[in-house]
Amino acid sequence: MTYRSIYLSFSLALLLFSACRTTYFASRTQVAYERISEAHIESDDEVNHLLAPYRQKMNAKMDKEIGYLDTILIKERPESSIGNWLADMLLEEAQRNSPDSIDFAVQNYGGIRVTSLASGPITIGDVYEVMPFDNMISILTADGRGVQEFMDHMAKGRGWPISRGIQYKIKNGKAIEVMSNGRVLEPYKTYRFAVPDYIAGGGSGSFFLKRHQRQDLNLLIRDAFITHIMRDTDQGFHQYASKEGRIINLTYE
Amino acid sequence: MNRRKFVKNLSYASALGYLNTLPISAMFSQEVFRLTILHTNDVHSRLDPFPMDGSRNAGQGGAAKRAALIDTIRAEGNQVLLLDSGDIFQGTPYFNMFGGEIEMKVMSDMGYDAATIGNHDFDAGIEGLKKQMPHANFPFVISNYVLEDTPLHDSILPYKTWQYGNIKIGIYGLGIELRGLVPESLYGNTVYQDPIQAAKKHEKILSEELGCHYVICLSHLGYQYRGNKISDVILANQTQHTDLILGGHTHTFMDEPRVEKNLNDHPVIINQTGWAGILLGRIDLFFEKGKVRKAQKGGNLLIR
Repeated sequence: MTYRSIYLSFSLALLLFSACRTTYFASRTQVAYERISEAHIESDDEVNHLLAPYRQKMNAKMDKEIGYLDTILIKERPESSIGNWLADMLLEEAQRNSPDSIDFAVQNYGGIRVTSLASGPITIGDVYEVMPFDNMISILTADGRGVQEFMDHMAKGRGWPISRGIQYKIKNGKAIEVMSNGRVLEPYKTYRFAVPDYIAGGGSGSFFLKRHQRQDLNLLIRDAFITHIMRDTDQGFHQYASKEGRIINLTYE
Repeated sequence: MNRRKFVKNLSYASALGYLNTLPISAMFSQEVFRLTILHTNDVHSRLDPFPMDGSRNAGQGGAAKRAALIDTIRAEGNQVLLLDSGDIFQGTPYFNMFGGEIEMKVMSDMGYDAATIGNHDFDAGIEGLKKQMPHANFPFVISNYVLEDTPLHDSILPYKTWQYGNIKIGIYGLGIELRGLVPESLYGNTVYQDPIQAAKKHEKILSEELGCHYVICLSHLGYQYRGNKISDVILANQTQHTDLILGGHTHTFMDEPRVEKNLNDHPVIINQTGWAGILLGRIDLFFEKGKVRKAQKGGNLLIR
């Protein structure tokens, strides 16, 4: 017997041994999903105690009323009242903080975290619920082809909120008849638009936006909205938004 | 979601059609130990139940009720491992106002044993996460982020083991790619490494070097994607020693765990519990002592 075959039979024995050694193993697995809200579950006093002082401080800040909403705002696709409200505020606040003219703004659909906002007083907490993430405002510069690419991406996503200054129709998952400020999109004209920095950085599948010239305003979108609403309130304005036909889905109509 | 009651045969011997390969020795062995794994993911600072405003999740979740439920399960007397798969932070003003402090305190009070890091746990910056570490009395495990040049360099473990008598359980953590998902200014010098390579390395350490009988991956990669983006499902297919993947990120509510085959055609269980602390996942493992081919690991899966 050569060394080679001794080695071979040794490793074979080792293999058999290790494949069938005495060990501990999970022979049964039982899985359940326990629903926390079920009525029979009591609240734990200790955790409630821990939470109480934080909750109190939080509510003191979040319950502060900063404005008034004249109508219920709904989140839907392709166009929505809440989307128009937020995208218009994004455009106005970006413009306020940028010396160059901005053509339009886009708010990603997934960035809106409520399904609706009730009419009546608006609290700081409402704005946090709508937009809990600390996204900042970015301004991108692209030509008409770059804008068309972005609109196609939104059309594929069945419509993201857009501000005034841009409109399009969706047909078979593509954006058609894209208009900016009343004019047909020109392929070689330069456009400037505001988006959440999350989107400018390629979030929600917007990787193609990363090649465009980008300017970051060091400004949280949520804070910009709060400032905007408070300014309106100081000047005696209520908040209001409705659907205006900015996005029309021809595929489903 | 209705509680569903059915038994699924997980032993891949039968799943693959080899019905008669159950080792005889396993028939004579008996259950020697029961481990109850409780897990959450993507709780997103939802410490209070959703407000009663008529919305879809109104009244659901809440940390105080979760704590009480966990206590009830602990009172059954089995060993409990309480785990979280990341995105503890962000989603309610609790986080915006207090930076994650109360999330850590409440989880510590509930007795969490370990958690991994999700992308939103960087939302107050890596310094912000570091600042909350003293409020957590449980370790964070992540094996594919290199944190040497960050404030977290001494705060994170790649893996952790627990010994219960003769039985050893190993856990390693995996995080999602941060580039394009989290602003670079927030994750700082964190270096993301290929999750599959990290998984292969650490499952091997846990299983072969440290002798773990069961290996769990706490993952924030996401359940499944279109295309070939790394996910829990792909991870399961590409590993050899991982028995259970507790996932997150995609906020996936499941009616039953997903069972995938690993590189050796052995079963891997993938589970996730949606988000916001609406559900608590419960996985009871019944360990036996016996001569067994690794193919029989997992045994029967009961969903109730």
